[in-house]
Amino acid sequence: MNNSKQTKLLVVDDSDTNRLLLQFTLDELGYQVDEAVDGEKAVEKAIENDYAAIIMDINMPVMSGPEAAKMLLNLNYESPIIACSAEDDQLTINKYLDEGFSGFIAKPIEPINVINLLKKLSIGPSTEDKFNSPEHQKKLEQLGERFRGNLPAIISKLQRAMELQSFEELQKICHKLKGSASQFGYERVTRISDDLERAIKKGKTQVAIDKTTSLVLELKRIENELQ
Amino acid sequence: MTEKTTNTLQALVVEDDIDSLEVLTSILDSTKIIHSESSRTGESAIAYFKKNRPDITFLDIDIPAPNGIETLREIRTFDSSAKVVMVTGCSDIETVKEAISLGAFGYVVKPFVPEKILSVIKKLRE
Repeated sequence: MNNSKQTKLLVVDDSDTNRLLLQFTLDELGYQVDEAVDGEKAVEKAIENDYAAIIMDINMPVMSGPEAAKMLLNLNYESPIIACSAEDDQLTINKYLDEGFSGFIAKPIEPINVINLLKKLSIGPSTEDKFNSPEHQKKLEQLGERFRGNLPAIISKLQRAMELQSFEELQKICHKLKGSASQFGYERVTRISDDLERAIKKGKTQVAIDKTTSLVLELKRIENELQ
Repeated sequence: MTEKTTNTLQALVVEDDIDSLEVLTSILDSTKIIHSESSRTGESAIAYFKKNRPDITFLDIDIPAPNGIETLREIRTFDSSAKVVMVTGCSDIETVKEAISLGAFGYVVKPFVPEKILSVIKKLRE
């Protein structure tokens, strides 16, 4: 099995122009690029995704690059975080490296500098999945089967809770679905369940009813696909 | 489940959702170097931790009372060197900040990416 896939990088900059420029360069080199406009968004995205590296602007509103890097390093974040700034004197660069950044790219960005640094950090445009455990794959397939087998019961429970207008029960069901569906590739179920849980917590009854309807439809769609 | 020996790492997985619990323990057990135990509530996790002091704890944030953050606080108060990795369905920056202030060792988001789980284990062994 060929597990080769595109390497994903996160570009963090509050300037649209800078993000576009970097995105264009990295795109041309064959990398997949995701973006964030400030340090807080960068931390959230870094936790939720699997990036090979983060290219981080220093001065940004809401949360600066060094603050975001510090948060991620506190959580033992593994991938390199590269500082990107117009202040390129050696003293400042050393300060960034001391703060835990793995490298530095000067602004205005020269594509060759980006290429050289990624090369130095051994981050190529494609990667291979290293994890290959047949036992885990088998277990995942079994759990996926069980999840799909439970769909009719879950749909009935949702419909029953909706009839009774029991939002407590609805919250229990969608909370569980939120956690498990994405494990088996049903990202949309997780997303709707998350929206539903938030709506219930905020007391938005009509939104909760609409989301429950969407959730039931999505689960029935999966069920039909299986038949 | 990996057999418990003196060389294996002891992990505790705290998760109320059985599917997520089984996926995570399957990843851990497939390494052959981790022996994992599980708890379904914060209360039982705290009791297990105090008795067994696992090398690493994977703790879901959305567990019933006490929730993951409260459980983290309790565990870290009991043992300030405890390595606790927070597990969640989505990363909310305020919760991330709170987890860091309480000394969380790491943060992983579902669906579980085996490489990310294993990189946390690698960090633990450094």
